[in-house]
Amino acid sequence: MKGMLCKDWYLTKHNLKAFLVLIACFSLGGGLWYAHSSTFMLVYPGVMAAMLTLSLIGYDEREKWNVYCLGMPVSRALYVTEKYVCGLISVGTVLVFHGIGALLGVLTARSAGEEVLANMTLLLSVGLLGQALMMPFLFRFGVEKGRIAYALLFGMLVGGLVVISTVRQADGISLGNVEVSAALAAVAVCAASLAVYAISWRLSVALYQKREL
Amino acid sequence: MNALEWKGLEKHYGDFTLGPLNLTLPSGTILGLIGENGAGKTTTIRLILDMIARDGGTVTIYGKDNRESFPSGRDDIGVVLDEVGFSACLNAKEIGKILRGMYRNWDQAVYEGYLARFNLPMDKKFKDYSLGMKKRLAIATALSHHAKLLVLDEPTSGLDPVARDEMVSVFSEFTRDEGHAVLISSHIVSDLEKLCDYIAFLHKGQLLLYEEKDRMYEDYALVRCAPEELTAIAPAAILGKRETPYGAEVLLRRADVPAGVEAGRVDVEELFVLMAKGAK
Repeated sequence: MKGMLCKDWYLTKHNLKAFLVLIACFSLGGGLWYAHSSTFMLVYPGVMAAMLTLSLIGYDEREKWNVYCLGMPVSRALYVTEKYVCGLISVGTVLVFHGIGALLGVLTARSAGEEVLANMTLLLSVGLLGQALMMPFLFRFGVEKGRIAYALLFGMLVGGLVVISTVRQADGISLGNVEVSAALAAVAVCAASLAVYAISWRLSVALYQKREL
Repeated sequence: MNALEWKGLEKHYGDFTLGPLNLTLPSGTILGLIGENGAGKTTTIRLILDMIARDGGTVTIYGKDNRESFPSGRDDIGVVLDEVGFSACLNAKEIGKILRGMYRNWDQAVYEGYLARFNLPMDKKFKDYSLGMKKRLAIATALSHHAKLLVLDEPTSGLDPVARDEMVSVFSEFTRDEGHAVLISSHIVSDLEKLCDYIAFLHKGQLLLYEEKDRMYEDYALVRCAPEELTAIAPAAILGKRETPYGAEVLLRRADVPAGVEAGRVDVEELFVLMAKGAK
């Protein structure tokens, strides 16, 4: 795992620097100027994080690393797991930059603190769910044939914008007669996103075992 | 002890069937896998490494099933595949760091020694390497984690004769240790003839021959004769033949060479070509 993560870091550093810059700028900007930013600023870094992982898988397929590494002490399950770990790292990076931006925003009175939790929840959800939807397609059909995942990702982008707009207009989520606090809703959304991500990982491992490389 | 054993190994792809193959590779020896394009060499190697699912049979590596011994057993195997899958943007230094994180026994000093020996610059990107340099880098990585078994798919293709000769020396040095073994597939039969202790011929997914090389020289013979002299040889004894306006070359078992007919030594390439022709 360590060596594979190291490889993906080098790959990102050499070939995908633009993604890192975009993730950093939009995450930081979304946190810093939240009060003036559009919902796009909150969804876009999450989508970029998902695209980063997708690109790493694409490079591996093109350069045949996905086959070559199986001659090393790497199982198919480990290969898939490493990409899901990359996904968590990329979303984590978005959250860290957004958190720094939000902290600076609060300290410089550019934004209010109360939105930070909801925003970070949405960033995490968009990042994780986008990847959770894409990756089983990519591992089953490959990057070329898995283009349907792009369509799903686009749907996620639009859906994310709708959800964000809804949440921004509400202090909490109403479940019938029960008022759920924003904090509790955030925890529930994060937990659900992580659960979907975990299910997606299990599914991808199972699908990748069957794929002829 | 056998480094590798395949029993009844099979794989089916539509109209292509590989096997069932039965082969052994004793420790301290080198087995050359020879075959035409599409004969099943790469499929065989991928089955041994469990990179693709087999449809039947078993593969044992140093006495353990290749699936049960995974992943710890994989540290003992150095692999070079026909396509070297390192990222184009990486240099040899970075590849070393990556592989240090993948193999428990990675030896950076050995790796750097091979890079120097093979004239591979540390800081040049993989994409800027020539085909031969890429192959040499793959061989260097396969040799740098104290593997006991090397599994090499076309490792010398793309290398010039001098570099190929160097690689033949490297693999021979590797098997000086009695616990080591090499399985190597190649189109370049002359390299395998210099290097191998055992030879296996694959033809259309089937094993045509598996023999110790020296025994092969003893068992088979090439008869050069005029076309009309062919009648003296029993058709059933002919394993393969090549006819030209100037004469015929016939591959026979030495035991089947008729009395009074002069039979010469057959080299591995001639043996393979004539056997493949005879099998068609």
